[in-house]
Amino acid sequence: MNAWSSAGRGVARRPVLAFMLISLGIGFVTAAIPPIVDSEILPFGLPLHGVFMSLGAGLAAFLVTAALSGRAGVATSHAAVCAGEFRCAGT
Amino acid sequence: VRWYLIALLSVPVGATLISLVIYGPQALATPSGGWPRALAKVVAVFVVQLVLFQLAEEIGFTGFLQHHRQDRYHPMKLTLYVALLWAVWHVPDHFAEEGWGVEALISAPVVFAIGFVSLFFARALFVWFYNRTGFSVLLVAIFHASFDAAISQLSYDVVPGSNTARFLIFSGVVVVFATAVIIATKGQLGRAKEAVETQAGVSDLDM
Repeated sequence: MNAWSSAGRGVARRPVLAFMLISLGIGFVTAAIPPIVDSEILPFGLPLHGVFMSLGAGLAAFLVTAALSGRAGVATSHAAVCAGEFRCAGT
Repeated sequence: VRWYLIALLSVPVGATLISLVIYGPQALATPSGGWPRALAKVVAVFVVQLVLFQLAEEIGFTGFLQHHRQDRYHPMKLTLYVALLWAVWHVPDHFAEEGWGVEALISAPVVFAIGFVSLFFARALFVWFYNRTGFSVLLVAIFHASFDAAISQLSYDVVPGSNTARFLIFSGVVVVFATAVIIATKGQLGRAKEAVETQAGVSDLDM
Protein backbone atom coordinates (compact mmCIF):
# COMPACT_ATOMS: atom_id res chain seq x y z
CA MET A 1 0.00 0.00 0.00
CA ASN A 2 2.82 2.37 0.93
CA ALA A 3 4.71 1.51 -2.23
CA TRP A 4 1.59 2.23 -4.27
CA SER A 5 0.90 5.52 -2.60
CA SER A 6 4.51 6.68 -2.90
CA ALA A 7 4.51 5.66 -6.57
CA GLY A 8 1.29 7.59 -6.97
CA ARG A 9 2.83 10.65 -5.36
CA GLY A 10 5.86 10.36 -7.65
CA VAL A 11 3.61 10.16 -10.70
CA ALA A 12 1.61 13.15 -9.46
CA ARG A 13 4.82 15.16 -9.03
CA ARG A 14 6.21 14.27 -12.46
CA PRO A 15 3.21 13.30 -14.61
CA VAL A 16 4.90 13.85 -17.98
CA LEU A 17 8.00 11.91 -16.96
CA ALA A 18 5.77 9.08 -15.71
CA PHE A 19 3.77 9.13 -18.94
CA MET A 20 6.94 8.92 -21.03
CA LEU A 21 8.55 6.21 -18.90
CA ILE A 22 5.48 3.98 -19.07
CA SER A 23 4.76 4.48 -22.78
CA LEU A 24 8.42 4.35 -23.85
CA GLY A 25 9.07 1.36 -21.59
CA ILE A 26 6.21 -0.57 -23.21
CA GLY A 27 7.53 0.50 -26.62
CA PHE A 28 11.07 -0.72 -26.01
CA VAL A 29 9.94 -3.98 -24.41
CA THR A 30 7.61 -4.87 -27.28
CA ALA A 31 10.22 -3.82 -29.86
CA ALA A 32 12.66 -6.26 -28.24
CA ILE A 33 10.38 -9.31 -28.32
CA PRO A 34 10.99 -11.12 -31.65
CA PRO A 35 7.63 -12.96 -31.81
CA ILE A 36 5.87 -9.58 -31.57
CA VAL A 37 8.18 -7.78 -34.00
CA ASP A 38 8.13 -10.63 -36.53
CA SER A 39 4.41 -11.28 -36.23
CA GLU A 40 2.39 -11.02 -39.43
CA ILE A 41 -0.95 -11.39 -37.71
CA LEU A 42 -2.21 -7.96 -38.78
CA PRO A 43 -3.50 -7.30 -42.29
CA PHE A 44 -1.77 -5.00 -44.82
CA GLY A 45 1.64 -5.65 -43.28
CA LEU A 46 0.86 -3.46 -40.27
CA PRO A 47 3.31 -3.99 -37.39
CA LEU A 48 1.99 -5.68 -34.25
CA HIS A 49 4.55 -3.93 -32.05
CA GLY A 50 3.00 -0.63 -33.20
CA VAL A 51 -0.32 -1.70 -31.69
CA PHE A 52 1.36 -2.41 -28.36
CA MET A 53 3.21 0.92 -28.54
CA SER A 54 -0.01 2.82 -29.21
CA LEU A 55 -1.90 0.96 -26.49
CA GLY A 56 1.04 1.74 -24.21
CA ALA A 57 0.58 5.46 -24.81
CA GLY A 58 -3.15 5.17 -24.09
CA LEU A 59 -2.50 3.06 -20.99
CA ALA A 60 0.13 5.51 -19.74
CA ALA A 61 -2.37 8.37 -20.09
CA PHE A 62 -4.96 6.32 -18.20
CA LEU A 63 -2.57 5.38 -15.36
CA VAL A 64 -1.16 8.88 -14.91
CA THR A 65 -4.64 10.39 -14.94
CA ALA A 66 -5.67 7.84 -12.29
CA ALA A 67 -2.66 8.79 -10.15
CA LEU A 68 -3.36 12.50 -10.60
CA SER A 69 -7.09 12.56 -9.97
CA GLY A 70 -8.27 9.11 -8.97
CA ARG A 71 -11.14 7.07 -10.29
CA ALA A 72 -13.34 10.12 -10.78
CA GLY A 73 -10.61 11.75 -12.82
CA VAL A 74 -10.36 8.75 -15.11
CA ALA A 75 -14.14 8.61 -15.52
CA THR A 76 -14.26 12.23 -16.62
CA SER A 77 -10.88 12.17 -18.32
CA HIS A 78 -10.71 14.58 -21.15
CA ALA A 79 -8.89 12.12 -23.39
CA ALA A 80 -11.29 9.26 -22.77
CA VAL A 81 -14.36 11.41 -23.28
CA CYS A 82 -13.06 13.33 -26.24
CA ALA A 83 -11.76 10.30 -28.10
CA GLY A 84 -15.34 9.63 -29.08
CA GLU A 85 -16.71 13.09 -29.61
CA PHE A 86 -16.34 15.79 -32.16
CA ARG A 87 -16.62 18.66 -29.73
CA CYS A 88 -16.01 18.39 -26.00
CA ALA A 89 -17.94 21.23 -24.44
CA GLY A 90 -16.80 22.39 -21.06
CA THR A 91 -13.34 20.86 -21.17
CA VAL B 1 -18.80 17.71 -41.31
CA ARG B 2 -16.35 20.25 -42.70
CA TRP B 3 -13.67 19.25 -40.17
CA TYR B 4 -14.17 15.55 -40.81
CA LEU B 5 -13.67 16.20 -44.53
CA ILE B 6 -10.52 18.25 -43.89
CA ALA B 7 -9.14 15.59 -41.53
CA LEU B 8 -9.96 12.75 -43.93
CA LEU B 9 -9.11 14.21 -47.30
CA SER B 10 -6.51 16.96 -47.00
CA VAL B 11 -3.43 14.72 -47.20
CA PRO B 12 -4.61 12.18 -49.81
CA VAL B 13 -6.11 14.85 -52.07
CA GLY B 14 -3.22 17.29 -51.60
CA ALA B 15 -0.58 14.64 -52.29
CA THR B 16 -2.44 13.37 -55.35
CA LEU B 17 -2.60 16.92 -56.74
CA ILE B 18 1.14 17.45 -56.15
CA SER B 19 1.88 14.11 -57.81
CA LEU B 20 -0.28 15.12 -60.78
CA VAL B 21 1.75 18.32 -61.15
CA ILE B 22 5.04 16.40 -61.00
CA TYR B 23 4.22 13.23 -62.93
CA GLY B 24 1.27 14.36 -65.08
CA PRO B 25 -1.53 11.92 -65.98
CA GLN B 26 0.82 9.03 -65.17
CA ALA B 27 -0.01 9.71 -61.50
CA LEU B 28 -3.58 8.59 -62.08
CA ALA B 29 -2.79 5.54 -64.21
CA THR B 30 -5.14 2.73 -63.21
CA PRO B 31 -3.46 0.52 -60.59
CA SER B 32 -3.47 -3.24 -61.04
CA GLY B 33 -6.88 -4.42 -59.86
CA GLY B 34 -8.52 -1.09 -60.67
CA TRP B 35 -9.29 2.06 -58.68
CA PRO B 36 -12.29 0.71 -56.69
CA ARG B 37 -10.11 -2.08 -55.28
CA ALA B 38 -7.19 0.27 -54.58
CA LEU B 39 -9.38 2.84 -52.83
CA ALA B 40 -11.18 0.13 -50.83
CA LYS B 41 -7.78 -1.03 -49.59
CA VAL B 42 -6.89 2.54 -48.53
CA VAL B 43 -10.19 2.81 -46.63
CA ALA B 44 -9.61 -0.58 -44.94
CA VAL B 45 -6.10 0.42 -43.87
CA PHE B 46 -7.46 3.72 -42.58
CA VAL B 47 -10.07 1.96 -40.41
CA VAL B 48 -7.57 -0.57 -39.02
CA GLN B 49 -5.01 2.19 -38.36
CA LEU B 50 -7.58 4.37 -36.60
CA VAL B 51 -8.92 1.61 -34.34
CA LEU B 52 -5.70 -0.23 -33.50
CA PHE B 53 -3.12 2.55 -33.60
CA GLN B 54 -4.15 6.20 -33.71
CA LEU B 55 -6.99 6.36 -31.19
CA ALA B 56 -4.85 5.06 -28.33
CA GLU B 57 -1.78 7.00 -29.47
CA GLU B 58 -3.69 10.29 -29.63
CA ILE B 59 -5.46 9.63 -26.33
CA GLY B 60 -1.93 9.63 -24.93
CA PHE B 61 -0.20 12.35 -26.89
CA THR B 62 -3.10 14.71 -27.66
CA GLY B 63 -5.73 14.04 -25.01
CA PHE B 64 -3.25 13.69 -22.17
CA LEU B 65 0.14 15.25 -22.94
CA GLN B 66 -0.90 18.10 -25.24
CA HIS B 67 -4.09 18.86 -23.31
CA HIS B 68 -2.34 18.98 -19.94
CA ARG B 69 0.34 21.34 -21.21
CA GLN B 70 -1.73 23.64 -23.42
CA ASP B 71 -2.51 26.17 -20.69
CA ARG B 72 1.15 26.36 -19.80
CA TYR B 73 2.82 26.93 -23.16
CA HIS B 74 2.40 29.14 -26.18
CA PRO B 75 0.97 26.98 -29.01
CA MET B 76 4.28 26.94 -30.92
CA LYS B 77 6.24 25.98 -27.84
CA LEU B 78 3.59 23.36 -27.06
CA THR B 79 4.03 21.99 -30.58
CA LEU B 80 7.79 21.79 -30.12
CA TYR B 81 7.46 20.17 -26.70
CA VAL B 82 4.94 17.50 -27.69
CA ALA B 83 6.72 16.80 -31.01
CA LEU B 84 10.00 16.23 -29.19
CA LEU B 85 8.51 13.72 -26.75
CA TRP B 86 6.49 12.16 -29.57
CA ALA B 87 9.69 11.68 -31.57
CA VAL B 88 11.37 10.07 -28.55
CA TRP B 89 8.36 7.74 -28.23
CA HIS B 90 8.86 6.65 -31.86
CA VAL B 91 12.46 5.52 -31.26
CA PRO B 92 11.53 1.87 -30.43
CA ASP B 93 9.93 1.71 -33.89
CA HIS B 94 13.36 2.24 -35.41
CA PHE B 95 14.89 -0.62 -33.44
CA ALA B 96 11.96 -2.93 -34.17
CA GLU B 97 12.42 -2.34 -37.89
CA GLU B 98 16.22 -2.19 -38.07
CA GLY B 99 17.16 -4.57 -35.25
CA TRP B 100 19.31 -3.91 -32.20
CA GLY B 101 22.71 -3.94 -33.87
CA VAL B 102 25.42 -1.26 -33.85
CA GLU B 103 24.26 0.11 -37.23
CA ALA B 104 20.77 0.76 -35.89
CA LEU B 105 22.27 2.43 -32.83
CA ILE B 106 24.45 4.72 -34.97
CA SER B 107 21.62 5.67 -37.32
CA ALA B 108 19.11 6.23 -34.48
CA PRO B 109 20.03 9.91 -33.86
CA VAL B 110 19.68 10.73 -37.58
CA VAL B 111 16.35 8.92 -37.81
CA PHE B 112 15.27 10.71 -34.63
CA ALA B 113 16.23 14.13 -36.04
CA ILE B 114 14.37 13.54 -39.32
CA GLY B 115 11.42 12.16 -37.40
CA PHE B 116 11.37 15.15 -35.07
CA VAL B 117 11.23 17.66 -37.94
CA SER B 118 8.38 15.87 -39.71
CA LEU B 119 6.53 15.25 -36.43
CA PHE B 120 6.86 18.94 -35.53
CA PHE B 121 4.87 19.97 -38.61
CA ALA B 122 2.35 17.17 -38.07
CA ARG B 123 1.93 18.21 -34.42
CA ALA B 124 1.38 21.85 -35.42
CA LEU B 125 -1.58 20.67 -37.49
CA PHE B 126 -2.78 18.44 -34.65
CA VAL B 127 -2.69 21.39 -32.21
CA TRP B 128 -4.62 23.49 -34.72
CA PHE B 129 -7.19 20.73 -35.33
CA TYR B 130 -7.54 20.19 -31.60
CA ASN B 131 -8.14 23.86 -30.84
CA ARG B 132 -10.42 24.50 -33.78
CA THR B 133 -12.64 21.44 -33.16
CA GLY B 134 -13.29 22.16 -29.49
CA PHE B 135 -10.58 19.76 -28.27
CA SER B 136 -11.52 16.67 -30.25
CA VAL B 137 -9.07 13.79 -29.92
CA LEU B 138 -11.16 11.87 -32.44
CA LEU B 139 -10.59 14.42 -35.21
CA VAL B 140 -6.85 14.43 -34.56
CA ALA B 141 -6.80 10.61 -34.67
CA ILE B 142 -8.76 10.65 -37.94
CA PHE B 143 -6.29 13.08 -39.53
CA HIS B 144 -3.36 11.00 -38.27
CA ALA B 145 -4.88 7.73 -39.56
CA SER B 146 -5.67 9.38 -42.89
CA PHE B 147 -2.03 10.41 -43.30
CA ASP B 148 -0.69 6.97 -42.33
CA ALA B 149 -3.13 5.13 -44.60
CA ALA B 150 -2.37 7.49 -47.48
CA ILE B 151 1.40 7.15 -47.22
CA SER B 152 1.37 3.38 -46.66
CA GLN B 153 -1.20 2.52 -49.35
CA LEU B 154 -2.38 5.34 -51.59
CA SER B 155 1.15 6.60 -52.23
CA TYR B 156 1.96 3.45 -54.21
CA ASP B 157 -1.01 4.13 -56.51
CA VAL B 158 -0.56 7.86 -57.13
CA VAL B 159 3.22 8.38 -57.00
CA PRO B 160 4.99 6.53 -59.81
CA GLY B 161 8.38 7.18 -58.23
CA SER B 162 10.78 5.95 -55.57
CA ASN B 163 10.03 5.49 -51.87
CA THR B 164 11.87 8.74 -51.24
CA ALA B 165 9.60 10.55 -53.72
CA ARG B 166 6.54 9.08 -52.02
CA PHE B 167 7.76 10.16 -48.58
CA LEU B 168 8.70 13.66 -49.77
CA ILE B 169 5.40 14.28 -51.55
CA PHE B 170 3.16 13.08 -48.72
CA SER B 171 5.25 14.67 -45.97
CA GLY B 172 5.51 17.79 -48.14
CA VAL B 173 1.74 18.19 -48.00
CA VAL B 174 1.88 18.18 -44.20
CA VAL B 175 4.81 20.63 -44.14
CA VAL B 176 3.12 23.05 -46.56
CA PHE B 177 -0.27 22.71 -44.83
CA ALA B 178 1.30 23.25 -41.38
CA THR B 179 3.42 26.20 -42.54
CA ALA B 180 0.32 27.83 -44.06
CA VAL B 181 -1.61 27.31 -40.80
CA ILE B 182 1.27 28.68 -38.68
CA ILE B 183 1.53 31.79 -40.87
CA ALA B 184 -2.24 32.30 -41.19
CA THR B 185 -2.81 32.00 -37.43
CA LYS B 186 0.36 33.96 -36.57
CA GLY B 187 1.51 30.99 -34.49
CA GLN B 188 -1.66 30.82 -32.38
CA LEU B 189 -2.78 27.56 -34.03
CA GLY B 190 -6.44 28.20 -33.33
CA ARG B 191 -5.93 29.12 -29.67
CA ALA B 192 -7.64 32.28 -28.41
CA LYS B 193 -5.07 35.07 -28.19
CA GLU B 194 -6.15 36.00 -24.64
CA ALA B 195 -5.50 32.42 -23.51
CA VAL B 196 -2.03 32.53 -25.03
CA GLU B 197 -1.21 35.88 -23.41
CA THR B 198 -2.12 34.62 -19.93
CA GLN B 199 0.31 31.74 -20.35
CA ALA B 200 3.33 33.97 -20.82
CA GLY B 201 5.85 33.59 -18.05
CA VAL B 202 4.39 30.42 -16.58
CA SER B 203 7.11 28.08 -15.41
CA ASP B 204 7.48 24.96 -17.49
CA LEU B 205 10.18 23.09 -15.65
CA ASP B 206 8.06 20.49 -13.93
CA MET B 207 8.65 17.55 -16.22
